[in-house]
Amino acid sequence: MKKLKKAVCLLLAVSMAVLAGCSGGTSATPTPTEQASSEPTLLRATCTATPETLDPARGTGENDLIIFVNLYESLVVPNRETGEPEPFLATEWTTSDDGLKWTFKLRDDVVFADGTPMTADDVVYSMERMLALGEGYAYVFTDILGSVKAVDTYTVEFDLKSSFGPFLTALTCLKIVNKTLLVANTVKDNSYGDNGDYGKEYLLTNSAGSGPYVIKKFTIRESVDMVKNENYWGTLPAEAPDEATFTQLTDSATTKMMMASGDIDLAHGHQDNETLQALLTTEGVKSAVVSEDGLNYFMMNTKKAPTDDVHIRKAISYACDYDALIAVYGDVEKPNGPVPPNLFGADNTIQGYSYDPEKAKEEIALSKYADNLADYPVELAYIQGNGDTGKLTMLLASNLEAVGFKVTISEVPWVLFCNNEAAVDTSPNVTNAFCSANYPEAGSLLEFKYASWTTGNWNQNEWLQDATFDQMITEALKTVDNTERLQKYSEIQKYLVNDVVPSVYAMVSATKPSWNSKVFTWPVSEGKMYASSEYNYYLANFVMLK
Amino acid sequence: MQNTFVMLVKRAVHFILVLMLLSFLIFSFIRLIPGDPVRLSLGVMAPEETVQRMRHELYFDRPLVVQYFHWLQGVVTKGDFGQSLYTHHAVSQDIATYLPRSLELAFYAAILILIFGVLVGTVSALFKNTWIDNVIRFLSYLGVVTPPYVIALFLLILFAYTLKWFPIGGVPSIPEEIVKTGMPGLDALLAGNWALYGKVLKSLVLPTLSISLGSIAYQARIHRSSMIENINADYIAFARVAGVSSTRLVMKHMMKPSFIPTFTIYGLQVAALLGNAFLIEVIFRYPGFSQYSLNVILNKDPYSIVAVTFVFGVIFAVVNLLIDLGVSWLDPRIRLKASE
Repeated sequence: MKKLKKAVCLLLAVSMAVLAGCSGGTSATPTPTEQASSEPTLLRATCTATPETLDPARGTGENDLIIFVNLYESLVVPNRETGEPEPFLATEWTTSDDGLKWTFKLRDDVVFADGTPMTADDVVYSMERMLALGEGYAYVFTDILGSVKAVDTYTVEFDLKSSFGPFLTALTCLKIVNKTLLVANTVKDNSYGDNGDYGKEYLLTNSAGSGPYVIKKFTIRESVDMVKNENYWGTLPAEAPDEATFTQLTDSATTKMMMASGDIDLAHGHQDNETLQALLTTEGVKSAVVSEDGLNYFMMNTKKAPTDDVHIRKAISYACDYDALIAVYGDVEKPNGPVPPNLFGADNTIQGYSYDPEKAKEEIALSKYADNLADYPVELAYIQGNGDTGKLTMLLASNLEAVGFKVTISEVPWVLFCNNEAAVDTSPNVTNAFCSANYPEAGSLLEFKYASWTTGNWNQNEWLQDATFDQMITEALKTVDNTERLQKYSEIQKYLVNDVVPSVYAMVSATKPSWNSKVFTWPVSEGKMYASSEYNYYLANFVMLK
Repeated sequence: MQNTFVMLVKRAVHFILVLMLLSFLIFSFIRLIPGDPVRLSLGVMAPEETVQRMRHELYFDRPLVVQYFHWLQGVVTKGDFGQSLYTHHAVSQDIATYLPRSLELAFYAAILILIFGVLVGTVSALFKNTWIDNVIRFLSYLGVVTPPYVIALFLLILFAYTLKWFPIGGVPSIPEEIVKTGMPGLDALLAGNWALYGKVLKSLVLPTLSISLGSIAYQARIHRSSMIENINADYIAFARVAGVSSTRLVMKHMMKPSFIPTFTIYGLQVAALLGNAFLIEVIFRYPGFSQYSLNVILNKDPYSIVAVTFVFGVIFAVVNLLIDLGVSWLDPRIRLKASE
């Protein structure tokens, strides 16, 4: 028996030793710093999720757009400072007097990544394809576009059904794809008639654009590897990364370790504050606040007691302690009106509401619920697991209680939340969420958030259904002249803030990416930022230091 | 032999019926959850036409029974589990991508659990109530109560970040041309690429340890008490008096009957490894089946949810069958009962 015990012990000890031996001492893989300088430069970034497809006609999420902006190009791009669209693949354009016909002259030197020259045919194909698929940004164009045709090799003409002022800005959402390549890779099925599957299957894992980068390898929910487009028609600086990989990484502990050990160079901007502070302790790691084209809104149901009374809505706007809300997210901006300050068409002269509990009480006294406020509890709701929106809601709840409101709070699962928002009766008094523009212009956000025809989804708990607003936004969207249209947007913003007060504008939505400044220089660090945040990730602007 | 065959056939029929019932129930439950999965997938602004077209393509606009049998027909005739709204791929393709990775991880974990669970349990039983037993019991208790993700973070910080023995998560990229099974290690082996296999193995050490340490501890505790029960049995005392050598006594007379509870628990633990590895897969950036399963459920992706449940059902059923076969091989009395 003793012998056997000894043998078992020995076996156990040997197995432990073998297991320990598996670790095999220090790693043989060279770290980036050991690599020779002649090797291609590689930028290693993280993202909250990889795109689901590389099809620019299908994705609209932040992660999709960051990748698409490097693979595909559009006729116009927003100016970094003003957000106004400026020429890119198109060199110039004209509009008919009635605003229905838009004619674009294209550059004649653009080639796709496979060397095929880009022509008006590709633009026509890209637009028709997007509309046929009906996904992604198709809804921006479905109701307004009559037809699109190639006038000659480098001229394309869009005929609109009705005048649409922001058409040029909206065109930033149309990414041009390589028709020849997609037609050659079409799967013959009956989804889209003669067009087969319109190249959908091919674009699940391949790209077909003219952008400065091409796909090297894409594994959904793992990583997107991009490499410089050797055939790029424009200038692609030598300092820009030769390769870039975006890895899906959501675990904060792993992110911290990988940043500290130099295994990643750029961490996505959705880290919680504690993780961000830990990331910043690594030497050379910096972070920036990158504003996005949306806001955090407390959306007040204007058709349900007690928030149907404008004085109650004003009271809530005054009762809200904006600094406390902003402290939850850190250095983000406080907007004054319904449009983020850097979005094309924002009126930054508007004086919004500030924290003033006394004024809140005065407004309550003016409302029809002044005498029986306790009979009308304000129901606050937020989406389960949606970042810190729960914290924001709790803060507002305590602010409201402090001025005399009775409140109830509910955390609602996403699917149920969407369901509740489908009808005015089931929409709570106040919900909290981040909403952003569909195309980078104030009109998009204003229409999407407040027009009568966009109710019934979680972006409009306000149920504004206000005839004056509908009239104003329709007029503004019809106006082709930029100055005139912006003036109309400004009037709408004033009307919303001063007269209707449908929402509390809590903060500008922003992300806080952090990066190793010893590895690359990012224009964002000098405050050079686009309102459409994806353009900040245009890799050609990155300067690799090693 | 014939009895075993009859049992297998009976089991297979039961199994198919259970799977059909399970999949039908899941279909019904998904319809009951509020919210339109197509609308969720396409976004609030997608034109109604597109939503309707996709609903039609996916059979969501047909009665539940019609949708179910259409799906079942696809599964039986083409192995087609439908289209995922979450990944935009065929569900069968998703399973083929994610399941093999998790199976490989579970395979290595299963080996560790069996070897070390039994070994540590045996040592603990043989040294019952000595300091060795006490240390093992303490450690195994610690192992059972510590959640796997805590173990994962601890191993990651110690062995990957501080000592740099292993990579901080991720699996080496397997070149497309050698991918055959979808299991990174096995594919490297089949291609004869030993260097790549070594790299894969190295990247799998920490995740494997993280998901198996708790199970090893649990297994050791089960095996210990099972051994102790047999050590005190009359037939062991009798065998000892009859002069049976101590090695034979332990290896044959004590080990074999002690294996029955151990083996039953072991099978269920291994089957559960696939579903319980979610956080481990996230922490080690190992995109496996567990992560996929949770994501499709959160995104209310109907066909994927049914397929995932189906796969788990098959795995549990197969594992249960293997356990029963194994147990009946270990104990002829059970074999006789089963054949009655």
